[in-house]
Order: sequence, then structure tokens, then C-alpha cells
Amino acid sequence: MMPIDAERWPLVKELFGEIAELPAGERAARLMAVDDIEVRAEVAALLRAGDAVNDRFERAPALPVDSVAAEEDAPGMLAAGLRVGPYRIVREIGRGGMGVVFEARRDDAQFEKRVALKAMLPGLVSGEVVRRFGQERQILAHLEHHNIAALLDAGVTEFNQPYFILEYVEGEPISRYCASRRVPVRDRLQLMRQVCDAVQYAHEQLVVHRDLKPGNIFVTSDGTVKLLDFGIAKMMQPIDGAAASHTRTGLAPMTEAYASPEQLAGGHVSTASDIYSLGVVLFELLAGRRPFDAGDGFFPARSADAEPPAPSRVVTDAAAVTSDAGDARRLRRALDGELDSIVLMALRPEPDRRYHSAQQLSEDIGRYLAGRPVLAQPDTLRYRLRKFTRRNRFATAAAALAVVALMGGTVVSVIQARAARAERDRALREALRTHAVTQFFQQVFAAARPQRKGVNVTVVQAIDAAIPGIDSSFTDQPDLQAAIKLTLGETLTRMYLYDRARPLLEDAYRTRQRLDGGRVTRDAADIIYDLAQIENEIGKPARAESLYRVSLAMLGALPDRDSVVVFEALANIAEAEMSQGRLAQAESLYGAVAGGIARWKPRDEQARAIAVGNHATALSQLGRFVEAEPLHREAVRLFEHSRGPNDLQVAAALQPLAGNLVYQRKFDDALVQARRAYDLNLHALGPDNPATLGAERTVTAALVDGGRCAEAMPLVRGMVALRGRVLHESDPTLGVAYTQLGQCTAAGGDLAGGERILREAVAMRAAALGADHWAVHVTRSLLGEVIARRRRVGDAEPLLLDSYAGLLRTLEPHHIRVLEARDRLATLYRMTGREAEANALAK
Amino acid sequence: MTEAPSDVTRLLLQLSSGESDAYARLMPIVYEELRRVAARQLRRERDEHTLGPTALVHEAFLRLVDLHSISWQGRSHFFGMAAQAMRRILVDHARRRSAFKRGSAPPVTLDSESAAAADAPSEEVLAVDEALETLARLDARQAKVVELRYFVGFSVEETAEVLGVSPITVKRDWALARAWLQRELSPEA
Repeated sequence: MMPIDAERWPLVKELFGEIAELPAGERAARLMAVDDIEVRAEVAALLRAGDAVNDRFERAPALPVDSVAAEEDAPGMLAAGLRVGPYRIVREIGRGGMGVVFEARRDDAQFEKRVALKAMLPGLVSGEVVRRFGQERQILAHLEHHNIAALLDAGVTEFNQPYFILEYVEGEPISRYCASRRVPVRDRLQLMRQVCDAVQYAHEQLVVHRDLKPGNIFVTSDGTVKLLDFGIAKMMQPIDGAAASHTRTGLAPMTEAYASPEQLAGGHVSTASDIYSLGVVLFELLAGRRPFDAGDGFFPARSADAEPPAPSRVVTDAAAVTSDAGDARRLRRALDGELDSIVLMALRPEPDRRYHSAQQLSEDIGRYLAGRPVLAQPDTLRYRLRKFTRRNRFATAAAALAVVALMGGTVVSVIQARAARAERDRALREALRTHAVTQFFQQVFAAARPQRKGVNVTVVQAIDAAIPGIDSSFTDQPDLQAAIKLTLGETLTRMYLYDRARPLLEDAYRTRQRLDGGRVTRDAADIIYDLAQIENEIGKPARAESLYRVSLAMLGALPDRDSVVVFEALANIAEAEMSQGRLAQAESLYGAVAGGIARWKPRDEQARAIAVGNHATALSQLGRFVEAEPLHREAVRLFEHSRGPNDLQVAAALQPLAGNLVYQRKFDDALVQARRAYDLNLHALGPDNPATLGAERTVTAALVDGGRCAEAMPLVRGMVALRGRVLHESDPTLGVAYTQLGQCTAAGGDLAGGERILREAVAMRAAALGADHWAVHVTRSLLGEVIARRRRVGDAEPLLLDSYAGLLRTLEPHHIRVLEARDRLATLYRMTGREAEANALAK
Repeated sequence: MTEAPSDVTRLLLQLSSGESDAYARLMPIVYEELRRVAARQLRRERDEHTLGPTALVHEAFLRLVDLHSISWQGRSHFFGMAAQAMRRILVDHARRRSAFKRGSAPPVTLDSESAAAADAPSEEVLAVDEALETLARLDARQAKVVELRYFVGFSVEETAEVLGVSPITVKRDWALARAWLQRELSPEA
């Protein structure tokens, strides 16, 4: 019988309510009238159960008061050599105010496992503490996160002493890790994001750490963050209420220098307290010292409402020396601005004015790293432009905004950017206008709050409702209408709501053109640029390109032409050219952009790296490998310098360099670079990430083309094995793998097998790329070579000839693939004694 | 300075206006406070054998929420959340107890009388908790009714107020839910 599902449950409910009211004698008849036999059976069973239930479940279960164990000192002191459950204590590795930590081993089975055993000092174990321990370990046991040292086991010794078994973490505290390895600022921020992720996860599980400090944040040798002692601080804390006095007596486990004001005051500890501690740790990682001096154990060093200084103001020379900044002045400059704001937002004395979650803090750090505006800082034009150009618009799509949450902030930043621009242009009129615009949006957002109980209006719905109002509200102020539409259009663009944004922007443009009598204005140029961005985003490169060109012309015609925006537009045009396959045009534009940025913004190494890298890629795709190589290397160097040697951008720049080197037949060097890219990606992204797989393919190509088939074979087979599972039949990667498999099979002496596989590879690549693609011709040429080696000259010659012709058609005449195909044909001629023809080819 | 009532009140207001972030911030506070109140009661009332969850939830509410500015909706949110927290506290407690009973660790409780008395309900608490997962899939509101009636001990009227439905509806839901639990928890089912 089918169990009753949610669909039929309302029927059961209705019938149960009705029949339960009936006198016992009438129930059976009513039940028989139910058509659905399963519903009938269910209702009957429930009626029977209802008669039997009496007053069961009517009384809430009480929380039993456990008699508290006698508060005598436990006699058993743990020490090396002793056994605790299945664990043998090896040595003491740490001791704090309340607890002691041992290295221990579990050696019951075949394997030996190293663990950390943490126990409370026996004198402090009260019955109450043991009670709390039992409850907390349930919570902690569910904490599973790769950045949190796992709680493996917990128990109570025979002397009633609670203990935890934790994952043994081999590493060092984050502050020491950063100092001893001179970790660059950007990598410190990345580490901090890992910390935030772990804390966020724990908060979602209702676990507050309460004692976050470098000593509890370890980094392993491979750069993985591991948080220790989650939730344990609380268990090791004396009974609540006494926390404040214990702080001063040094008994409480909480470390004062990292404690939030509310913790110091003995107040309510919440997730916001952990955010504060994260802020102190971040402060210390950046500035080399903590925002407040530690107390002396008896008196707190600060009042609860003390405002911390900005990290950039207090950087120490030691911090500068141990980071990538070199000297304190440079470090100060690096921190000044957004990073200061981020740290200070986490350190606000009032819990509710801090970041609302560790995730929010992490996202803001992420925004900083990606060169996007951070939440913690008010926008100014200078700031926005600085961000704008630093943004890596050629990398993979930017992470999506948390749309509705950020909506308010996005509008504000758009408005403020306009307001700042207004100061430069038409100060008073614009300011008034901006004020009106701001007011309008306040009304829109007021509408987005629920008006009546139970009615929720989303922001998008509110905007949709507001759009018709723009034209009716400001009938006598067309320039205000245009301003609102432009602001709203830019806002919606940032929210990826292109369909809604476009008509508003077009409307705004038409109004502006009418008002300005067709003159070029900054607003008009901006609107065209915005529209170009939209076309680009929705995959219409041709339309985007023409709009970019219009906006570029308009920007150039403006008296206050802004070189930064011009380069932005140029780079976008180049990108559009590239995606339409017009490599030569893209190359010259990228060259201009790279030159321009090097001249105008020489210190912005990331912007330079991106521009140079794009230029190099365009050159490589054109087959101009020799010219491209030093540019690829320059991009790698600039990324290494600005983002640190282990940044993923470095990997992204290394990969095209390796590809370039393969084409130049510099196989050993190619292998070195490709392996470095592979290792970086593998470490940061894992084995199945497309970037990792891409680097692996480059490693394979360097091996196969370099004739190291024995080493390449496992990789090639691994890729081929993905057919139909991870890789779709038409995936171009598969064609590459089959080509390599065919090459290596033939090279290993199995010519027949090689021929068969290469034939399949030709079919696959033609299906994926089209019959006249150069890569298909390369594979056909390789097939021709194998057939020639099987002494079937009659079959091989037309194939080698035709593929050579195909390559001449599709690639530059001096491309390495063209030359290789020509050499294969020449070899065939020589093999058959046709030296003259071979020599003619060489010319 | 203790748990600032205005904080919780403000978060409840935010929750009422649809900010889901507020929920994530509130839940730990409510949970903490319930446990804190329970701990305080335990110390104060050594001679009592048990603590009633209803009283705990009410006290937590009074301590956490500013009564002058909280709306009806905010109240409902609070009690709905408190019920969930209370359920979890009771279940955790019961789980610990049955784990000790199975002998995985020496019992912490030395008073054998109260331990024995508490055993039967702790089995039931776990069983109800588990059965409630199934019921919630059939009818979410009915599961809420059980949470409030069984785990918090709210009256029909209080439950109706928290859920924003009529007492008659709660009565019907509760009658069926009890019959359903009875059947789910009986050994032959």
C-alpha cells in the first residue's frame, strides 16, 4: 500500500476531523463511503490511535535537573604514557589557563593515528561543567568543515574529567606563518577569507567560537587554514555571570586582546563577538600589531567603547619587513583606504554596526581583492574610477552580486558617483538634481518594505511599479527624468537585469539628445557605453563593438576626456574583436591599450598585467610566438609581483606562456611552466576544476609534442577515459586527447592502432570544430604521416597534400603547424626518392 | 550590560519585514538565552526535580524582548523560534541521556532516582522528534503545532496566537497530530 503523501494528507485531515466527531456507531458507515482505499485505511488507523492516545503528549517533557556531581577535585591528572579510552598520550604540547593539550595516538587497529587530546585541568571540573560538556559535544560533533579541526571524539575519563579528541593539525599560528614566510598582503587576505568561511559555517550551525585568536587559527604547510577549539572556549568557561571577574583574574579562557567590548564587559556573547575577534586578527596580520595593547591581567587595557586606530596609522616596521611591502611607508599606503575601512567595520564597538556575518566580511575582502568597491567604504568618484580600471574584466565572469541585499548600496554608489562628477561639472544644478533622484529612490525602497502583514514586495517588483511613475512625476523636468532613468538603468545593469535596464537607458539617451540639441555630453557618452556593456554581457560582440566605438568617439570629443575611460573602452572593443575572430585588429588594439596603461598608470601592476597578458594572447593566437613570449613572461611577472607567487592569476598567465612555448618547441621550459600552473590550480581549485584540467592538458601537450609519450600516456588515457562521462562526445578536448593517443600509439610502434585512433580523432574534431578548422587539418596531417609509415604512399600523399593546403588556408604561412605539415609531406617525398619535390617544398 | 533587549527586538522587527539575515542572527541568541535561563533556574531551584519548558521560554522572552516596541508579528516569530530552540535543547539532552544509557560513557548523573525518572520521557522525546520530521513533510503547520504544544507546552490558545490561526484549527491539528504520533510511536506500526 502506498503511504499517504502530502497531496492526500488534507483529505485525511478533513475526514479525520469529521469522523472523529461522530458517535462511535456511525463511524464505520461513514468510513466505508470513502472511495480512496488507502485514505480510508489511514483514517481508520488514525481514529483507532486517537482513541488510544488518552492524554499522552499533552504534557511537555521537562528538563530533568541532574544532581550535580560533587565538586571535589578529580584525582586523576593526565600525563604522557597514560591511556585515555583508546588513546595513548604521547606528550604535552600546550597548556593554558583552563586546559592542557596533549599529542596522543590511537593505536588499537593496524594503523596509528595521531590526534590532539584536550582536557580540562582537573581542579576546574565542576558538575555543571560536565553537564554542559555533554550538551556541547553533540553540537561540535556536527561541525564538519575542511577549515575546522575536526572533533573526532569526546568523553569523560574515569575521574570525571571531560576530554576532546581533535584532528592533529600540523602547522603554525596564522600570524607566525605570515611573518616567517613573508606572505604578501593579498595572500594574507586570502587566508583570512578561509578563516571567515569556517567561522560562517560554524555560525550557521549555531556555534560561536568565542576565543578567536592567532593561536587558534593554524595554517598548514600547504596553506590551508585550520581553526582549532571551536566552541570549546565556552565549555571551558566558568559558569556564566562570572566571566567578567574571571577575565581579570586571567582564569577565563578568552584572550583579552582579541575579545570584543561586549565580552570584556561580561555581556552577551554572540556571532558578532567572533566578527570582532576576526577584525583584531585581520588588523594584526596587516599592521603587525593589535589595535589595543593587551591588559596586564588585572586591568583591561581599554574601555568597552574604545575606538580602534586605523591599521595604516600604526603599521610597524617589523610588519613591513615580513610582508611583501618592504618598508613601512609602502605598507601604510597599501592599507590606507579600503583595507582600513574593512578592518574598522569589523571592529566597531557596537555589535550591530559590524559586518552582519563572517560571510559579509569575507565577501568584502573578496571585493577588495577583485578590485570592486567594498561595502565598508563610501564611494567617491576617484575611488570608483580607481576600482573601475583595476577590475579584471577579461577574467571569468565576476561573481554575481547578492542582488537584492546590495540593491540599496548599488543605487547609492551610482548616485554618489554621479554626485561626485557633478561637483566637477555643474555643481549646483546637479546637486539639486541628485537630491531629487535620491528622494525618488527612497520612495521606491519604502515601497519595497511590506505594506501589510503578509504582503512582501520584492525590490524588482517595486522598481517595476516605479518606472511608469517617472514620466508622470516630473513632467516639467525632463532632465530629471533622464537622470533618474540613467541612474536606475545603471543600477539594473549592475544587477544583471539587462532587459529592464536597456529601455530605461535608451529613453534617457533620447531625452538627453533632445535637451542637449544633439551635442555630445558626458552623460550621453556614458549611456552609450552602458548599452555597449549590456550587449557585451549578453553575448552580442558585434553590436557591443559598434557601440563601444561610438562611445569612444564621444568620449574623445569631450573637453575633459578621461584617459582611463578611453582605455576601458578600447580594451572592450579589442575583446569584442577577439571574440569575433578578428585577431589582427584585436592585437593592435590590445597593443595600444597595454602601451597606454604602461604610460598612464605605470604603478597599477595588475591593470598592466591584464593588458600585457591580453596582448600576448592575441599575438600567440596569430602565431607570432616569438614576439608574444616576452609579453607572456611580463604578465606572469607583474601578477607575481602584485598578487603574490601563488595567486591563481599567476596560473592563468602561466598557462598561455606554456602553450606558447610548446608551439616554439621549447618543450622543457613549457613543461616547467605548465606544471607550475597545474600545481597552483590543483592546490587552490582541486583536480576537477576546468582550470586545473586545462593546465593538465598543456602538460600533456608539452610531453606528447616533446616526444615523451611514455610519460604522457597515463595523462592521455585519463582524459580519454572521461569520454561520455565528464566530457561530452562533442567536447573539443576529447578530439585533442584522441589525437595525442593516436600519436603515441604510433610512436610506440603500433602503426595500425595509431591509424585507427587518428581516423577517429579526425572525425571527432571535424564534428566538434567543422571540417575546415586548422586543428582538423593538423590531425589529418598526422594521420597521413602514420599511413606513410605503413608504406601506403598512395593513400598518404593526397591526405598530406590536402591537409597542408588546408593549413595554409587557415593559418599564417609561418605557423609552426604549417611548417610541421610541410615537413611531413617532404619526408614522404624523400621516402619515395622524390628529392626535387621535397626541396621545392622547403623553399 | 546583559543581552540588550533592543537588539533582539530590532532583529525581530527586521525579520517581520522579511530580512532573512535576521533569523540567522536571532536563532543563536534565543538558543543561548534559553540555556542560560535553564542554567540559572537549575542553580536557584535545587530542590525541584524538573524545569518546565513553558516557563523557560516565557522567561527568555521577557528577558530578551522590549515589550513596548514588539509587534504581534514579532512575538509570533520569537515563540516560533524559541519552540525550535527548545525542541533542540530537549532532544540534545535526551540524546546525551540515551547515549550514556547505552554505556558509551560513564553516566554523569549520580542521582539514580531522577535519572530513572527521566529515562522514559527521553526515549519519547527522541521518537517524537524523529516522527515530526515526517509529519512536517505532510503538513508543516501541524508539525509546528506539535512543536509548540509538546516541546514548549503552550496552550491551544497560545499556540493559535503564535501561528496566527484560530484555536479551533489548532485543536483539530493537535487531535490528528496526537493520533498520528500515537500510531507512529507504537511498536507494531
